[in-house]
Amino acid sequence: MSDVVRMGVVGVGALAQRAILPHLTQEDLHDSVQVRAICDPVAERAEEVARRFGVPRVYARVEELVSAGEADAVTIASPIGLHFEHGRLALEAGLHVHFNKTMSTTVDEADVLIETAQARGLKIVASPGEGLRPQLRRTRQLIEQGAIGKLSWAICGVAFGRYHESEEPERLEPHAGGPIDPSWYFRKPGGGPLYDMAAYALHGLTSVLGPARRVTALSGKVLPLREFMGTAVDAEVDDNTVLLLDIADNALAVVHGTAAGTILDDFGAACYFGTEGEIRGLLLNGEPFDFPGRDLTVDAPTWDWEAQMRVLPHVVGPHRRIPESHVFEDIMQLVDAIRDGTPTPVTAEQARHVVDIIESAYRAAGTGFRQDIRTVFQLPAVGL
Amino acid sequence: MTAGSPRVRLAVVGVGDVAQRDYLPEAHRIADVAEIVMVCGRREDRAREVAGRFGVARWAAGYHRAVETDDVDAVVNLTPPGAHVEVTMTALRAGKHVYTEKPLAPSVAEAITLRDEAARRGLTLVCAPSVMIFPQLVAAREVVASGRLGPIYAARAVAFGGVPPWAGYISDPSPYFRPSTGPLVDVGVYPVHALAGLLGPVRRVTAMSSRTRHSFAVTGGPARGTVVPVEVDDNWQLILECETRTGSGRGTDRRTRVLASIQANFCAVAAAGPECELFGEHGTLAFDLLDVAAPLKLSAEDEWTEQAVVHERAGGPDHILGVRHLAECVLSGRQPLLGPDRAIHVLEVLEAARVSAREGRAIEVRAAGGPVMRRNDPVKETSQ
Repeated sequence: MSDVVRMGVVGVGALAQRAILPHLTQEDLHDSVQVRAICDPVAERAEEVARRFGVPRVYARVEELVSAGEADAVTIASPIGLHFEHGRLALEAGLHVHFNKTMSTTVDEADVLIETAQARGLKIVASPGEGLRPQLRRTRQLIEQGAIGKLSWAICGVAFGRYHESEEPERLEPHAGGPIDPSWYFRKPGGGPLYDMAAYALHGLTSVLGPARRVTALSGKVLPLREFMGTAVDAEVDDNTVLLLDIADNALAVVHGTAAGTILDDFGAACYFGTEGEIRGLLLNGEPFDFPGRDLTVDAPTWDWEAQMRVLPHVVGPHRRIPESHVFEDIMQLVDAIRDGTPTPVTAEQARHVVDIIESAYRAAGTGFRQDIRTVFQLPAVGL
Repeated sequence: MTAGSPRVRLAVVGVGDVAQRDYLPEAHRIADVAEIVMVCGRREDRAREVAGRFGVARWAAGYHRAVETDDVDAVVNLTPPGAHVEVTMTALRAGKHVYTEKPLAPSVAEAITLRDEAARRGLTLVCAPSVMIFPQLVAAREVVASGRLGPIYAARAVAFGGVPPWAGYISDPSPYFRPSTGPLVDVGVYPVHALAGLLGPVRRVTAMSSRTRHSFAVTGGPARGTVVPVEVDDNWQLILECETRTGSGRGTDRRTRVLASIQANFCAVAAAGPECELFGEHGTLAFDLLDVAAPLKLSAEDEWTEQAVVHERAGGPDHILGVRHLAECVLSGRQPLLGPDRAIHVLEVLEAARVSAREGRAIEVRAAGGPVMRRNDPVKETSQ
């Protein structure tokens, strides 16, 4: 294998244009990863993006990209409902895969992906790599060391209003090929705030506490009709789901995935409450706690997501100024794993567990019955 | 109100911690509508001591003197939960109006018999907690009614007043950990009352619970050394589906199910943040349920602003407002806003939560009679 990882990008919508391509085409990566091909069904958009970022090959279909021999690995940036199919095609063609969140929409799909990769000796890295963040690793260490006594409960989650319809400039003011349609966020499979934004909260929670055992949930739809640039979008999926998890040692966790309002700063990060103290975001009993790299973040408010990502190992130099650097970090976890076998904590098994929580939560909400979660994953050693 | 106006003559039954902490020291604030003419306790010496300390003319051991005395109009029932039904029923049968601490009764069925007894006799029955007339909740209702948040889609609340026995607690904390009480009943009532009152009646409940310890020893205060068995789950997490109406009320109403998560425990330290948050399409409202001195916090367009609340008590819960409400209803003949229907609805929700946690399924809550606080309900009975 070439020392430089040849990367393909599957889907060049908002995330690829805002983050993946700007990051991966920086000079400092020239000797480690190069984007050699992209694919997108909107030909005009794909051609313009390829020109803008200097990508040599453009394809309309995933099958063409993965069989062309141009790439060693792909990053899957298509709508969530297509991740499984696109990832499976790549693995079957012998490519390593980075999945943007979430890896798949069902556990059965996740099983196929993991088994296919294992059978072929391929690597999967599945975003979001919340477990990489020193902030969360320190949170886990504090809890394991008893800094808040015995953990009693935790809360995390997301609330966001009409972000996908009205706040992403890449969608609204496209370079070519027309606006980037967000309708899939409100359709099956893969739509809804759990697969989308609450996946961060669930990866974070399970990176701190390990796998959950049981889940129950209530779920509903508050906006039956959405609008994107003057066109009505029928919302098919629930946009308002709250779930309860039985996790850790007799602790309970609540996770909000809500399509309205904004969650108070503290609850964007998780809050953990114990018999002798609490961790709220980056505060231990009201005082900031230390973590490796904290000096890189102290000039920014704790809710400044991008600033909090400056502490990630690959987020240096120009990458600190490009959005969504956590996505870049996850891709680099795959690049390092391919180049020299560096193990990563950003695993397909944890992503499958999160998919299991989400799928089981919807089943609990639909049937009214609490669900056992059948998958597990191994937390890595906590070392900081 | 001028001197010589009629006042409601009250007998306070129960002179334990809550009476001495929250009611008797604040009683001077309702002297325009009520007068405490007697205090009753299980032990005469304590009743006498409390009467002397708070300037009450008469005292008695047991509660029978309170209900047999002609110059008592109403009983303020501050006994431990296990005595609530007996004291309230005896008082009603003796023709006394009643204000009762929560819970109204240990079961919905017993609560209904109390409601019916009061109705049959034309007596006023006011049920704690009076959180819906606490000034911060009144202000929150006004914000919700103003439409500044847009439609509300989700909410979260934590019920927490400390793990009994808290600092300065003067009684044996064991009753808090009996099967009929626990955090669900003792503190869970606050967020359930508040969310049902603000959003609409609860239609569906799912819950999980756990027990984090099986006994503990009291380490300070008069009960020092007492080993308290934990006979009830001390860690609860609920999700409620509240039915709220949006629209003008002229046939264009749309019913929306709002999802609310509630945490109630006797095992974690205090959560420092706002106890309740409402997530609306255009903003988030955060406030405390118990502390009347905490300001409202309103978030809109990523800006948090604070709104001070005028409060008469220096801080903490202002339970005496519920006794004022009783007195004002007795004097005016008006139906109480804090009547038994609201308390019965909350008991139904708590029973549903118990069944849900035990059986692992979501529980429907039947449509109860009029627990919702409608927009045109007067906030206060009198405003002079």
